[in-house]
Order: sequence, then C-alpha cells, then structure tokens
Amino acid sequence: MQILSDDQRDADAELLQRYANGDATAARLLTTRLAPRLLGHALRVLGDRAEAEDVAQEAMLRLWRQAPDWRSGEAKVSTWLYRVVANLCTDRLRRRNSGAVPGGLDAVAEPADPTPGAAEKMQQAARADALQKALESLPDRQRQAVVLRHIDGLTNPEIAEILDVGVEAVESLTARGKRALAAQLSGQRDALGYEDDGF
Amino acid sequence: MKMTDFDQDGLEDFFAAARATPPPMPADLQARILADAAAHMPAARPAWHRVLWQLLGGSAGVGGLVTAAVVGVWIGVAPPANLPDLAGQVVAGQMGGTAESEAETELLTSVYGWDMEES
Repeated sequence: MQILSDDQRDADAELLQRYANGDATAARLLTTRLAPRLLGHALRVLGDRAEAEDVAQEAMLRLWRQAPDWRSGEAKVSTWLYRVVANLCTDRLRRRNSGAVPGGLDAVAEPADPTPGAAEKMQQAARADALQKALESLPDRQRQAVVLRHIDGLTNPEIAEILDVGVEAVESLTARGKRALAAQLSGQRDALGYEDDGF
Repeated sequence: MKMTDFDQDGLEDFFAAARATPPPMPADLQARILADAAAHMPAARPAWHRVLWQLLGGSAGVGGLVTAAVVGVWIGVAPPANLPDLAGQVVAGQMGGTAESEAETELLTSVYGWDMEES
C-alpha cells in the first residue's frame, strides 16, 4: 500500500514550484510520480482504458495550469489531483448512467509473463481481474471509496476531502463496498486458487 | 469458511493482487502529458538581481556605468587645468571680472549656448 509521507508531500509541492519557475525536469518527475497512480485509479473506477487515459491527462493538465497560483501548505498535490480525477470520473459515470454507451471492461492486469513465477503472476492477475469485475458492480461512490482506501492506500480523511463527504460517510461507503465485494468474491475463491492458500 | 474470515483475509488478498498489478503507464500518454506541461509552463522567473543586471545592459552596460561614475568623481575632485571649475564658480558667483573668467564665459556660450553675462 502506497501512502505518501510528509517528505513526499513536500517533494510534490516543491517540484510543482520548480515547474512554475520554468524547470522542465520537474514536470517530468511529477509526471513519473503521479500520473501512473491517477491512471490506475481512473481505470479501476471507469473500467475503460481510453477514458482513464483521458482523465489522467486532463487532471495533469489542470495541475500544470494551476502551478503558477499553487499555494503550498493549503492542499496536498496528490490529494488535489485525486479530487480532480474523482470529479472527472463522476462526470463520465453520470453521462454513462444517463444513457451513453458504457465503456467496455479492459483487463487491468498485464498478460501473464512466461517466466519463472509466471503461475503466481497469473493467479494474481486472475484475482485482480475478478476484483475489477466485482468493483464495477458496486455503486459509483462505493467503488471510488473502496479503490481510494484499499488500492490507492489513502486515509479516510483524505478520501473525505477527495469525495467531499464526511469521514463517517467514507467509513460507511467502504464498509458497504467491502461487504458487497466479499459476497461476490467468496464464491470464486476455489477458481482463484484459494484452496492452495488454505482458504 | 465464514464470511467474516473472507472479509478480513480473502478480500485483502484481492486488494493486494490489484496493488501488485498496477496498469502500465503507456509511453504515448506520458508524452502527451509532458507536451501539455511544456505548452503551459510559465516563463522562467529569474532572481531580482538578474533582472536588474539585464535592465542595466548586462556586463557592458554596468561596466560603462561604473567607468562613467569613477571618471565623474575624479573630475569633480581634481578637474584638469584646462577645464573651467564650473561648480565652484556657480556656487561662489564669480562669473566675471577677470580675463580668465571672460574666456570661460565665451567658451560656455560657444559650446553650450549659455550667455552667462545676461544673468
């Protein structure tokens, strides 16, 4: 689970300041640090790679535009970005729910690698795929909260800020989401290798 | 297995699998993001002393300013013998009466267009 420390938080803000002062290297570092996580979150929430890439690019574009006016200490860069991504995802989900064509499910995991340990990787990929399918059956807000908490590794107060709800609401969303996921995934445990793990 | 066991252990195993298999970052997406960054990067804001240095004309401009200042101070302290001591004469009001001062007045009139005798 990846949780940013205070040092890392300051590092993102400092890099953004360097970018605002004309340092192109800082833009590259920020992109390497933040964009993959934004893409991963958007992909797990939307289930569509093309849409997720658009969301990640749009969120980073908004960060570049915000850079000259960024106020250090008021917001954490990564939290601000997750909030932008969450809002962009919500907009797209609403458009889907209003009758637009839903995005197709893309496999989140990479294809199996034919190297030693490949069987274990295949098993992990199968579990990740099963989780993705189960996630897409959740209500949108539950899905966002569960992904932010248990895959992106954010804290409940951070998620509350991102989703613009209270911490108790976050706890409720993640608890209900996990119960629904467990109900779906427990039936697949044999197929996903849990017999071998002793489950 | 009870559901509670699966909640605590089995579900976390699914989350761990998802964290262990993050989606790859496509090279073209990274290129698009960096192109956006380049297009929207604010102009470099140099430090104030660099801005001042450039406003004064860089090394050539500042060198000329320093030279002119030093020469001006030197002339003011020890003026060459063939130059009129204008400052001293204006302050002391000694612009006439001697042959030397008349010559200085003619020089001022011819060079600068000043007619000191009118005053």
